[in-house]
Amino acid sequence: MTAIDMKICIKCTGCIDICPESALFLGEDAAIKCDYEKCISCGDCVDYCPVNAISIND
Amino acid sequence: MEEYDVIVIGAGHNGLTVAGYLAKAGLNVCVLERAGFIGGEAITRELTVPGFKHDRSSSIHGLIHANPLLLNDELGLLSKHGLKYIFPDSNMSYIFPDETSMVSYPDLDKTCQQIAQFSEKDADTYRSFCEESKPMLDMLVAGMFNPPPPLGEFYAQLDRSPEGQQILRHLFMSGYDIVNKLFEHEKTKIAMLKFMSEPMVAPEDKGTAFYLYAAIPLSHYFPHGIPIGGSGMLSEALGSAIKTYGGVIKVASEVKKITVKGGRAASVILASGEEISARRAIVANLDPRLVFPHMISETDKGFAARIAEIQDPGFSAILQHMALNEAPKWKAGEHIGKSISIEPLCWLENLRRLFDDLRYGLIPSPENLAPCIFCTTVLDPTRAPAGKHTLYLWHYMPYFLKDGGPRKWDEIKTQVADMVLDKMRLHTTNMGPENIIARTTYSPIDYERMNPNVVNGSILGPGSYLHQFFSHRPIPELGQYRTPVEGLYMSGQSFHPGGSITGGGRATVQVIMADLKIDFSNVIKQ
Repeated sequence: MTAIDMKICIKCTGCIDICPESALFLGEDAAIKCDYEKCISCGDCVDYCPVNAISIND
Repeated sequence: MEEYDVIVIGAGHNGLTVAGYLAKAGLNVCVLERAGFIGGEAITRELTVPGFKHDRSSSIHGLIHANPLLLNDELGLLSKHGLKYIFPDSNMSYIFPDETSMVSYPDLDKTCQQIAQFSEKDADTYRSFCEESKPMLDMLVAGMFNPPPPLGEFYAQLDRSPEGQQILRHLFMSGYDIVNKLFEHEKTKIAMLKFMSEPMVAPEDKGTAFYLYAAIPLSHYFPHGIPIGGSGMLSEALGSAIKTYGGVIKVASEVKKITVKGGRAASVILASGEEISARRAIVANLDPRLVFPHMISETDKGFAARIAEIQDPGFSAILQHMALNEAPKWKAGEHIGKSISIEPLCWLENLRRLFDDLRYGLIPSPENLAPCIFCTTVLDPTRAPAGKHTLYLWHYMPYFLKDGGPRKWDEIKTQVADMVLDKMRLHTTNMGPENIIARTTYSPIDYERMNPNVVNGSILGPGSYLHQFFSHRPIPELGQYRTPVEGLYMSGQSFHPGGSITGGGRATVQVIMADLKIDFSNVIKQ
């Protein structure tokens, strides 16, 4: 499960485009969201995030 | 191994410009970008809530309109790749603490009328200042999009005529010295000083008068514009041109190393481990501090020491993006909202203290604030849902905080953002919480986190100081875009003509083509 901590996220939105499956998106509530149907837990977003706001939990 | 004629590292608008001309010349070009999108900081994205498109960093396009890239549409960006500009009637609206205002128009007469509200003498001085600066401006503009003249030659050229000698004397002075000498009214002085500080220079630093000469008259000869759809449309158009000319762009492709074989830059190694080789050249569209020694270690110690000497500008900025229900209503009058940039100012002594605060790494006091505000959706409604607006609220801030360094920003970002918003609220009637749908704030350290090329929060690259100017930008050895490694070139905001949206890659590409025995004049004629 990809989790985004919006308390840490600075909303650079870079993770949205780095995701190879287009699973990440900007939600109506102004938070970065993950579509778990699409997410393959590859960790590219985790590596890219400049503030370590994203983690992948089992 | 994949192989190209030229590899460009970094898809900021300068790197894309370099790649565009090289691809047009028939070279097999590959652009490699770390992020998942192209444009560097010339990008427009949803940053608050869906449907609201914000220019993440660069927004107003000024200098690029003097560049043959657009003037002669050399890459077909305007005619074939969908780039369209809006040129608003007014560039800037300055609002003073007493709610009087001064609007700067591309039209010199109209601007002089605005100044004459406060001082007829200043209006006349402003007119003659703009007209008398024209010869130097023509020389500057001609040199801006070509490889830089040797710094000494630029000075020598000015030193050959009495008029030039006068300008030369002034260049070594501070903007404040000149403004104080030329103008009598406090409001004229404040507006001029704020305008000239835009290249991220403190107006009382010696050697900053250049920006008074360059930026202010230039705004009357080359009006500021905004691309329809956002600043990122320039990058999209460049990307489209590169592909049309047969070039390749790879995003999510971070370069970790540049390899050197037989003394020549030979290939790049990506974070994934993949190696891509370049037959003829590698162009690093990056701050040199990211390249030497991190990507390439084959340089001598003296060179490394000079790289370390590159000086940052004195300050960075805090940026708030907002999604709004309605455009700001300005107390100073409805006409204010039609300017590209709206700048509520403080009094002269406060403005001087603002730059002192920045110099000492302090958060400016509320009475010293002078933000820059863009509500581009008033001019270009395509960037937000019908009837809604985006807001760009920007303010100079120190990167290194005296108390706690850059990381301290994570604790105080929201509080400082609120203080800047409160300054805007003093001059508007509808900026309460009910108007703000969402807000995203970037601190100086966030700028660098979003894009490592913004080294130490230096939004326009290394400081715009006279010693890092023309062929000496950022150091003399790199000033002609060549590096100590054969076949490796540099481009981007760290090099002439410097930061902001300039299309400066056009200058870089001429040096590369000369070395590759390609006739640049033929390429642009096609």
